[in-house]
Amino acid sequence: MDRVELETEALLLEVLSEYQVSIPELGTVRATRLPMVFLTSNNTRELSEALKRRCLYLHIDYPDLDRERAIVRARVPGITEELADQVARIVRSLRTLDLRKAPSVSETLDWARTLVILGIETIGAAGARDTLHILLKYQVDIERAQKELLSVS
Amino acid sequence: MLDLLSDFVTELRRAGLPVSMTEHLDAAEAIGHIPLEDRDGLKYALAATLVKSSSHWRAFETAFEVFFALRTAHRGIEGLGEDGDGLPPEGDGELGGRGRGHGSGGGEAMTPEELAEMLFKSLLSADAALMNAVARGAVDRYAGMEPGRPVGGTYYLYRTLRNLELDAVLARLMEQLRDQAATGVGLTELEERLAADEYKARIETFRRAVETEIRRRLVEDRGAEALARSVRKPLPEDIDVMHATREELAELHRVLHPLSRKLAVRLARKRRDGRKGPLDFRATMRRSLSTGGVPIEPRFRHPRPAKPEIFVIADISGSVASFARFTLHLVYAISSQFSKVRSFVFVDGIDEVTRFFEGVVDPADAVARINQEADVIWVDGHSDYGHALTEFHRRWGTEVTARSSLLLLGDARNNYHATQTWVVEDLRQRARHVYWLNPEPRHYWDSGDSVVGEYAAHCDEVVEVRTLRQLEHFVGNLT
Repeated sequence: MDRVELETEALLLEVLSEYQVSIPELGTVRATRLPMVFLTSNNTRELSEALKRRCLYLHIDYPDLDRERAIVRARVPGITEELADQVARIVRSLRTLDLRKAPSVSETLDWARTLVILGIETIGAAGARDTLHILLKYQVDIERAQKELLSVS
Repeated sequence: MLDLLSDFVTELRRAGLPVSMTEHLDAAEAIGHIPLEDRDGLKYALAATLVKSSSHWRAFETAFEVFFALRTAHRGIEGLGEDGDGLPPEGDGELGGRGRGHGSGGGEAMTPEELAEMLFKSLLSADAALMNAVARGAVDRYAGMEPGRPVGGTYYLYRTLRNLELDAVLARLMEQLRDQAATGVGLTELEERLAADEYKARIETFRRAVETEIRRRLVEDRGAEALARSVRKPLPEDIDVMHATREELAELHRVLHPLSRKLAVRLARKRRDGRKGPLDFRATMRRSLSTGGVPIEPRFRHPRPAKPEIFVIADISGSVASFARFTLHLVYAISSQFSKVRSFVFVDGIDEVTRFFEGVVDPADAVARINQEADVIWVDGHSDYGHALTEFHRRWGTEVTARSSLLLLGDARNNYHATQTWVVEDLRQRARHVYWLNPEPRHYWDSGDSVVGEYAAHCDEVVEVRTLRQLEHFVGNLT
C-alpha cells in the first residue's frame, strides 16, 4: 500500500466494506464469494484511518532469536545448525545497534546463503568483515557495525 | 466478558487510541472464536481488531496486561521441579526445596544471597519458569509494596531492580564465560559481544517478568481500572515535545518519518488539485472543429505545478532546546521530501543551515554539526527575536518571493528586547504565507517576556504545536 496514491485508498473503502465495485456506466458489481484481501505496507507512510478501520491489523516485528534461526534453517539449504545459530545471533546484535537500516529477514537469508556458498563454517571477525555489505546497505552502518562488533575502526 | 471488553475499550479510548464502534464489534466477534484460556491468542485477537498502528502497541500492551492480568493464584513454585526440565541436574533438588520454603514463608525464607544465586542460574540457563519464580521472590523481598497507594509501580520496579544489581550479575555472567573460555582457545571479541547481547536479552526478559509480577499484584490490590489510570502514558503523537524524556523523543523520531511522508503527499496533492490554468487556445480551436469551428468547449492549460519554497526559521536557544532538536529533525524530514527547503537557526544571531542537511544520512549528525558550527550567537546567547529577524531580513529578505512559505518556530520569548514586528509584516508582503509554530501551551502566550501576540498580528496564522498530533493537524489544514 505504500506506493498507492491516496485516492486509491478511498476507492478501496467500498471494495473492502461492501465487497462491491460501482462503475458509473454499468452499475454495481458484487462479489459472488467473499474474498480474503491482504494489504501489506512497510510503514513508510501512515494509511488513512478509514482504511485501517476496515481491516484487521497485524504488525510484524523482527522475529526473535529462535524464530529467525528456524527461518534461516528452513530457507537456506545445506546450512549447519551452528552457523544458523551464529547468523541469527549476529543479526540480533546488529539490530540493537543504532543503524540507519537494520538488517531485514531477507537480508539475513541472503547473508546466510552467501556464507554457505563461500563455505564458511564459523563466522570469524575476518569472515564477517568481508561479507557485512550483504547485510548492511549503508557505509556508515557497515563502519559502525565493524567498530562495535568487530573492533575494527 | 462483554462487560470486561467494553471496559477495556473505554480504557483504550482514555489512553488516546482511536477505537471506533465497528472495531469494538469486531473485537467482540473475534473473542467468540478464541478459547478464553488462551491468553496470548486473546491478546493478539484484540490487538488485531482494536489497534491499528504499531506506535499504539505499547499503550495497548500496558492496558492489556492490567486488564487481563493473571489473576490465578500464585503458580506454585513447587511445580518447578517438573517445569524446569532445562535445569542443570545439580540445581534441581536444591531449588525444589527452596521453592517450598518460598511457598509457605512468602519469600522471607530466601536470603538475598540465595536469591541472587538463583537469578544468576536462571539467567545462565535461560529458564523462563525459574526466572518467573525469582521475579516473584525478588518482588516479595525488595519491592516493599504498600497496599492502597495510588502508584503505577515504576518505583517498586526501580527498587526491586536496584537491589538485584543486574549490572553486577551481567558482569558475573561474562566473567564466568571468560573463565570457561580461558581453558580452551579464548574468546574473540565477536563472540564476547554476542554472548553479552544474549545475556542482556535474558536480563530484559527477567526485568519484564518483575514488571508483570508487580503489576499483577497492583491489580489484585486496587483493581484494574484504578491501576490503568496510573500507568497510562501518552501516545507518541501526544507527547509534549517541550517536556519529553529521552526515550519519548526517540519514539517521536521513529514516528516522525512516516508522518512527514504523509504530510508531503498531502501537500503535493493540494498542489496538483489547485485551480485551472489559463485558456489553452490551441486545444480549444482543435476541439471546436467537431462543432464546426464554434468554440463551445473551452480547454484550459494545466497549471504549471508551482514549486513551493519553504523557509524554516527556528529558534534553537536554551528555552526551547528539546523543541529545537525536534524541529531540526522535522526540518530534516521535510527537506528529504521537498526539493527547496532552506533552513535557518537563530538565538540572537542567525545563520543559514541548509548546507548541513544536504547529503546527510543521519539527522543526528546534522543536528550535532548545527549545534557546533552554526553562527547564531550575536551578543549574549539569549534569544533576541527582533535582532535575529532583522538580520534575516537584511541578508536573505530579497530571496523571499511570492512562491515562498515561511515557517517560524519558537516560543517568542524575547527577553524584553525590541520586537521589530515590521520585519514580519514586510516578509508577509513578500511571501505567500507566514506561519508561526509555538511550542508553548496557548494560555502561556503573552505572559512574561513572550511577545507572540505582537508577531501574531503580522502572521497568517499562529498555532500551538506541542505534539505530533497538533503538527499533523496544522499541516493538514494548510492550503
